[in-house]
Amino acid sequence: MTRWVATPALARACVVAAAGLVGAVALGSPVLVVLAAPFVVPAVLGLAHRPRTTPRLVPDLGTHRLHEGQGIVSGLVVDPPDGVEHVTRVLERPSYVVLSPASGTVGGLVRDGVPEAGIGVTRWGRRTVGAEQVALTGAWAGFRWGPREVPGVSVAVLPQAAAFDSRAEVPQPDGLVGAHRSRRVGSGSEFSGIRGFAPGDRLRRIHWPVSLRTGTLQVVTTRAEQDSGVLVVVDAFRDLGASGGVGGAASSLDLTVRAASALAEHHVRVGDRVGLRVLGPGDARVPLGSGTRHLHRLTGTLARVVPETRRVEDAVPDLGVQGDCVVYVLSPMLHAPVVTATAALAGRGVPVLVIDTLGERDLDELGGPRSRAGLAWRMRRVERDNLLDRLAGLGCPVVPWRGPGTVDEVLHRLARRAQQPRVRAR
Amino acid sequence: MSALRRWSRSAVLARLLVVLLPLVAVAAAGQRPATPFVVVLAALAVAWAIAPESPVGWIVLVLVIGWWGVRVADPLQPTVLLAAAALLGAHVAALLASYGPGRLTIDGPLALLWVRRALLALLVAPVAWAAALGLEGAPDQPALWTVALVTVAGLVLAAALALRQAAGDES
Repeated sequence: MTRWVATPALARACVVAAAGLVGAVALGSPVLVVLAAPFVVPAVLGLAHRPRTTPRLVPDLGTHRLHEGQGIVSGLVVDPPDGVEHVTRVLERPSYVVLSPASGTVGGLVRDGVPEAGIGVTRWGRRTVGAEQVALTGAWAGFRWGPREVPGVSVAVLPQAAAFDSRAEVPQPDGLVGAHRSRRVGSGSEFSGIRGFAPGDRLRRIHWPVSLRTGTLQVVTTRAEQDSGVLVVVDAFRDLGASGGVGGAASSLDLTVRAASALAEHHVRVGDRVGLRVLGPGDARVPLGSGTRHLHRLTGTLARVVPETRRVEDAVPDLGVQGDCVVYVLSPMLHAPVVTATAALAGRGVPVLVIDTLGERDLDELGGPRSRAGLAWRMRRVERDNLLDRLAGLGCPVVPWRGPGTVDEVLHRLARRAQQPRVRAR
Repeated sequence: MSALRRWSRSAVLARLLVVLLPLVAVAAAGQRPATPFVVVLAALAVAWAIAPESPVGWIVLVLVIGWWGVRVADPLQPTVLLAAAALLGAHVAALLASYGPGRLTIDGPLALLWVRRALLALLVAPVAWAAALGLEGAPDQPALWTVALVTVAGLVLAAALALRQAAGDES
């Protein structure tokens, strides 16, 4: 309803006042005038204050990007506010959205400001928030405009940056500059060794104490500092378990996306070039890049990840690995083609690290360990464990996601292995 | 029932007033009404409280006003002012409850604004009561009733025209 119409309250006041006064005259009963007279005031003033504007409602969320767990204030602009005395807002509550107040309904006098409501999102992804029904009431509750539906606004809810830090060096530093110690000697600052002076060495590199002790000029050599390419592969073929949003139970895709976000943020912060490949609907690919803008692109892509709902073909996916880089495969490892692609990559000598994002699944949700579903799940787990053992046998470490320090030990091992001569299978 | 459980306290309070105040208006007469009348009135008041915007509201109010005019032995006793206040209170309580769904908390400043407006509207009742008392002992004046009838008819016509114009302008 998009016009001002008389409210039932105004109609009631008019009917009671008219009935009382007409009855008093018709029956000659003055008491009816006494009882009906107070209704004349709201009836007359309600009629007199009919608004003559056509209001326009503009939702005001303030932002189109936020992290899961964050909240925003949903405002509303009523333009023009002339003649509007009261605003009632009833907000819709989609999945993974919490409202404040919990009822999602707010109302207040316009002279105190249009009432605001709090909206919080509890899970990453694209969410449409702020859809609501709005009703405006004129002075003396005489006329009402609406309820009118105000469409929601689509916001990108970025995955919560899970607590993650790593002090391990990545095993394949291959850029020009960066924070990782190179395998090659260069013009960095980290000590590598001391050797005899050779033509071309810079004089400031001469180490005078050793030179005096040995009687020949000795120079300090340092390691170059390089950045590294990191490719994060996200398996969105499956989403196992129910998601309770941030702070609640995590589905496998929750763990995957949050871990991918944490890894991407960590590596971008230390100056690495990070790429992203999403296996699943949309087939998103973000090339290697660095910097804050690139990090926003990565997290924005992660926020758009949706799980595959159709039947997935058994074709081995192309992980899109180009050049030397470290590959993180974040997956519950339940889809055989993903395991095959990972094994093929490891066989090519690419440093691959599988981060198991299956998480802990409660068998009680499946009816207990002795139920049919529970038994089937346990058998599936045995098959999966067997596959992961074979993958580890190919030199591809598999670690469950545990937050900070998840990959340190494995990266140290990969870095040590990268120093050794190797044969690549092509 | 689950919808009723989600009602805010203020909405429940307003609806309680919608149920109780028409009964208070009847009780103010100081005489025992017929039991069927009270039962019907209570049932209608409950229906009005559940749906504050339904036409049941004006049926309840007209029913009480009519009962005062027809059945009360001494209608111009001072407690008629209490009855007038109770009826207007029921109207305002229903109005406050109809600003939004039951789970909407009625805004404090809004409630205060309507209490002030109700008190302002109630000022008319003592004036009308005093005028009615003054005219009660006076000899019958047919011209006065004719003028009153024409005035009321004019007011009703003006209200009807205003309502119709309001709807017509926007459509």
